[in-house]
Amino acid sequence: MIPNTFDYQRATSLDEALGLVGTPGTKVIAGGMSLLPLMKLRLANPERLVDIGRLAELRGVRQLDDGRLAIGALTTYDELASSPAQHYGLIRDALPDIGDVQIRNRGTVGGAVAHCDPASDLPAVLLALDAEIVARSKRGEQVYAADGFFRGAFETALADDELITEIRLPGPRDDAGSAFLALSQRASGYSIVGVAVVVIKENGSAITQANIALTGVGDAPYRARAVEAALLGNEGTPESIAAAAAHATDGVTVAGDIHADSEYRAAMAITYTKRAIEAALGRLG
Amino acid sequence: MATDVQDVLGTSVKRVEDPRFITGQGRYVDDIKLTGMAHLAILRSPYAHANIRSVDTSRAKGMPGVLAVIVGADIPYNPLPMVWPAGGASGIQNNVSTPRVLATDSVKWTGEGVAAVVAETPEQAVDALEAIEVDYEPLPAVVDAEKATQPGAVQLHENAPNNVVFDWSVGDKDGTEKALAEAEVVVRERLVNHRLIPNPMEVRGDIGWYNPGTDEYTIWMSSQTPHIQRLLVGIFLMGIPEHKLRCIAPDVGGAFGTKIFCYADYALVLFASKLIGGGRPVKWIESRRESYGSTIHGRDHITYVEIAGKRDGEVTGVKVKTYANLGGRLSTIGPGIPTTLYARVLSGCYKIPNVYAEVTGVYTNTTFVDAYRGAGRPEATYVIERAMDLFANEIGMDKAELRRKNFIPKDAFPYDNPSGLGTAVNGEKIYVDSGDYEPAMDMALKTAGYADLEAKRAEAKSRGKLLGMGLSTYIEVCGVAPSKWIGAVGEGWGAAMWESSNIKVHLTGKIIVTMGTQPQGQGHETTYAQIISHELGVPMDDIVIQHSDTQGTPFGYGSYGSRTSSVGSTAAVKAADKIRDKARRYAAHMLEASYDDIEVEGAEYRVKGSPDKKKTLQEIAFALDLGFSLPVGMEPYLDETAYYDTPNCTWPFGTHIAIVEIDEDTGETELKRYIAVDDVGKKINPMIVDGQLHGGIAQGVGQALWETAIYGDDGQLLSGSMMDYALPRASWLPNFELDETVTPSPVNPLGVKGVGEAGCIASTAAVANAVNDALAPLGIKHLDMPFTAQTVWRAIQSAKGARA
Amino acid sequence: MRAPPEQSCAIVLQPVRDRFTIDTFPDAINRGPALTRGIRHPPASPTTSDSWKEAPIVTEHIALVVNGQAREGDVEPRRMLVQYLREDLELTGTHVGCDTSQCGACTVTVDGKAIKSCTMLAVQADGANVTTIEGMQAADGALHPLQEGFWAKHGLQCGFCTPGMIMVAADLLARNPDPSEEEIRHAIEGNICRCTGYHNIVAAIREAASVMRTGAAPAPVNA
Repeated sequence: MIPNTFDYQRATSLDEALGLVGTPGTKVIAGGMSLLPLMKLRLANPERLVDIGRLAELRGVRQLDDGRLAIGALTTYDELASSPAQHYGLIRDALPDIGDVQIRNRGTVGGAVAHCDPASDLPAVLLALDAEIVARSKRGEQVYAADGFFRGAFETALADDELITEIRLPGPRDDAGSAFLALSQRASGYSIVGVAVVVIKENGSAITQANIALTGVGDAPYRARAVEAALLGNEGTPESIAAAAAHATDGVTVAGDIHADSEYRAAMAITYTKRAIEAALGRLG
Repeated sequence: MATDVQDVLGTSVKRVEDPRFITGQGRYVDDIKLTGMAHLAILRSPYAHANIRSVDTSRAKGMPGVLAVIVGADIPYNPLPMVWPAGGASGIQNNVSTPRVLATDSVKWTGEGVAAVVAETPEQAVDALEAIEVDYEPLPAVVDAEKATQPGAVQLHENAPNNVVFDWSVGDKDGTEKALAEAEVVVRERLVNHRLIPNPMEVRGDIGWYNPGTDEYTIWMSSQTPHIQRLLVGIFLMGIPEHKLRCIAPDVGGAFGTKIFCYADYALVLFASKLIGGGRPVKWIESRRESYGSTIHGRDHITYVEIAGKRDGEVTGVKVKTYANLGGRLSTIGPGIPTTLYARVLSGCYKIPNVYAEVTGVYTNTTFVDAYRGAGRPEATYVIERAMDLFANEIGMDKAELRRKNFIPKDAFPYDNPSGLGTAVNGEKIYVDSGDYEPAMDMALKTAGYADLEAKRAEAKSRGKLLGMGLSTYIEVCGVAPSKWIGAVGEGWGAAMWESSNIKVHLTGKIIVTMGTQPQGQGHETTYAQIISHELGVPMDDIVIQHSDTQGTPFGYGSYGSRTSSVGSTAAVKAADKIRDKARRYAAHMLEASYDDIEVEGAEYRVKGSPDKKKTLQEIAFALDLGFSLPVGMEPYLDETAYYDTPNCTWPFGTHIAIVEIDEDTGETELKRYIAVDDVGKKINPMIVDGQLHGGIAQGVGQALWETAIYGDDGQLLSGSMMDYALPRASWLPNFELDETVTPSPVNPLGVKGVGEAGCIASTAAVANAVNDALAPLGIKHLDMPFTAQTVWRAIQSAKGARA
Repeated sequence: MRAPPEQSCAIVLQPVRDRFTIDTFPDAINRGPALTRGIRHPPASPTTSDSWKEAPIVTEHIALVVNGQAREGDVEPRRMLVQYLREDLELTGTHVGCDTSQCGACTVTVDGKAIKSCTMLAVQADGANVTTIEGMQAADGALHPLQEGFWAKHGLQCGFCTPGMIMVAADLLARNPDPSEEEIRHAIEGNICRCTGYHNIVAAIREAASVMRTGAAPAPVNA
């Protein structure tokens, strides 16, 4: 219940924050929804917390000139829910079931991305959207593709001295349909299996692009390439979707725990992938 | 005040305790801050089974703010008391091992206390815990009660061969075996009633204060039983007599049984306060994760049931063998739950001529198990209600009709169980007091649309869902019990089970009632005030109910087992009778009439035939308090106490129906509707009664669908926090559809029965029967709880595999 | 299962969530060079212990508004907002029911939004406007419609979860003045009640919403 002692420094500007991070024993705190529970259990024991929660420049959602959406790292789930990001079906699906009201009021997009909980929903959403993750350090700006960013349980491509400043989503398009579906672990609310799907039919009836990302299943959220490949060029009949979804865990070591052993989790990965593809295609009309 | 006071008995008046809770002015233990208060934290075993080689506290003693570090060897007390052995008087051997205040030589479960730190702040106490070094010798562990009794199992205690706490039985063994042998049909099944973590929202906690100036101890405790704790902690454990220990339970944030017991921390904070000296109080507040290991768990039975009968549906015998997991050491009344409170009600509301049950209590490397809401009766209801469904399926009979055919008929009350389930060794008996089971079942069936079940099933199937409807025609036993019965069977506290009430009508006519019972959310301050208002004709606003402090309340056995409304309320009625009688005698004196000529209506005492000659209770109390004019032999003051020992238990009953839908592809199970028709006798406050049912139903549903304590084979509690133990949340539950029948209990003057546990007793079986009903078309005979998505999915998969 | 580590541990070794136990929790959580597990300041040898007794507790100064009143004080950085409210300001209506941000008993509003005060550092609330259950009544002492609703509809039993329930319901009604039963149940998912089965809590919030929306007096309960 009581964390270890630590030193606390609140950054008043991004530059100041960048000067504070990167030293050994330092953790960055924004909303703290993931970090503080771990500190209370003394699993995380930082010597110093750098609080970036007040950096107004990292907050808010704006449309870029090219139609893309830029989400400030400190935008809360709650703020995201009332932003233009709501136009993405899979974000509309995912947000209401992330944590609870209180957590959505405090938890930040950047925090969830940097924390990289293996059962977190937002990374899967970003993977399916082919989002970009923009990071800053004293060395400059670095743009990461979501694909490849989430490397393992609580491990990302982010360097120790980097801060996530912004998440960029591709602009919405009429020929895309998306959905997010999850089977929740009842006690924690985290996903046993969460599936984010974006499908695009550029001309007419065949699927020309499919981005399928799963969370909760492996060590980190991942793109289900084999499912994507199997969907390309077909029209999304129930049989073809089922056949494609059967590849949901290809190449992945499926996790098991007291709530869902690896057999059940793998089966649900397939079932939920199938249902999420159907839902996304349904939105495409 | 006079006869125009509205009679509030039986009405849903708003609760008088609520204003403090809705404004944040409740006072729970952790809200109390005392001058000079220090803080205690407990180091708990990370091993399920280990010997303790040594404990090095030297580093911890040097930590900032540390006032004392305590280990088991520092504490001069015997192990904690265990006061409800299994059927002691009938010669049953109980192989007792209870915890010490802090472990000395060994630990038997993860969470057993090993050392404690007292420090200036909670932070410093917790920090210093990490500097204590314990040298453990880890030992292999056993967590399954049935396996623990097998040859070669890990042994926990030298005095308990094969880890057996007791082998106990009740009922007619020969008759039951004969019934089974001669039956047309016998159905056998193994049923697991899994372990639960009760989880009241307020964790436990206590503040101990030793006053060196008076040599007196005071403890503030989140407890259901302050009076009993004065005995158990004081006399049994620490050797402090009643006049030197005061126990106070402030507002208690839920308990559900967990706060009945004598816990080590009670003694620890009192010991620590004396140890650090200076009259400094010491506070300990459990953390939730700590609570999962250090506060009792519930249920955890493995049962083999055999149900026998005729093809026409007449059930002729039930035989049960149960392994009851009691944990690493015994809690205060652990053995009493799976014996008296379980096996003695195994025949439910059915007229089954032959019943026999054997229960083996077992030690395992798990947290101790004791009474959790319902305590034995949900387990019994689960067994008999599952058995009835299995029997119905076997003979192809409608489940409701099977129940109807076997109900105890309404003209058979008081009903004496023919197999002797209610009979003590010396012949003292408890009877099922009253009942009329069919109307409640018929109402529930109608509301649920039972007649259309197959159509509903087909409609759901068209949506890819498996629909099931489950009945639970339960019976409860409340208000345990007549002291002579409890004493005779050697079951119970090893003591009496009466209740107490004191009423003082003060000079201004305001009334202070003190009770021996102890509320944890049930609204006693309201319901008792309703009773006293009804009895004495005084507005509720002029009455206050006080409780939960051994200084100033009459001795009482506390609140659990749904005993408050039947036993406690009757004590209040009896005390009011005494008040009314004395007031009447004094009114006769004031009005110069004979006692027999005084008639009482509400708070008015008047001379028959002379309506102008009258006195109010307030006037009487005023004069009695002043005492200027007292008849010969009458004492001043209007102050009466009653102690009430019930002649029998009370027996609520009803029918609960759950309707569930299962996603065939994922195993996800949703409770769609919940219908409950309960007969809890007369209701003092229907709103509060309904609230008790709602909460009980939710907890029982929680067991069936989500809640489960899971241990690894090494004894680690794998569902060790609220992130892994799933408590019911609002969006998982429907609104509950309640209705009632009212069969007043003949046992007490109010005709009340008790309702604290009824919902929880009925609902687990209802949901279990519903899920099994939904799965039956797949050829699944029985699936154990909890019906998590994975469990149900696997059952569906293997059933489909078997049929493919 | 991995065997427990040899050294003692302040918390019983239990899973933290899902597949992670205390001893299998990925070290990646302490990014960068591995951080020391457990306490950092006990002296290596007990001989220097006395100096530790005098080790100063480092604090930060905070100033905030709580229930309309300006408050300030010095707090250890590790002090949670709930502890600051309960211990420092002695506003004990906000409760602690768990240690994993599950139960919601500690819910207060910060700048108008419901948050779990057990999962927010007091230093993070510096400059914020905090409302606790003690601040829900009007200046004249009149109960808030939510308080009235919980009372009228028997939305509480032991009362321990009640302040958090009322505060999260306040957040809901600020966003959605006419929530459906389903919306109410979803909105209070972060708050656990063990007594009521939620049935009457839902009714209480509906009642309050109706009163706040229409000004209609609650239907009499004592009829």
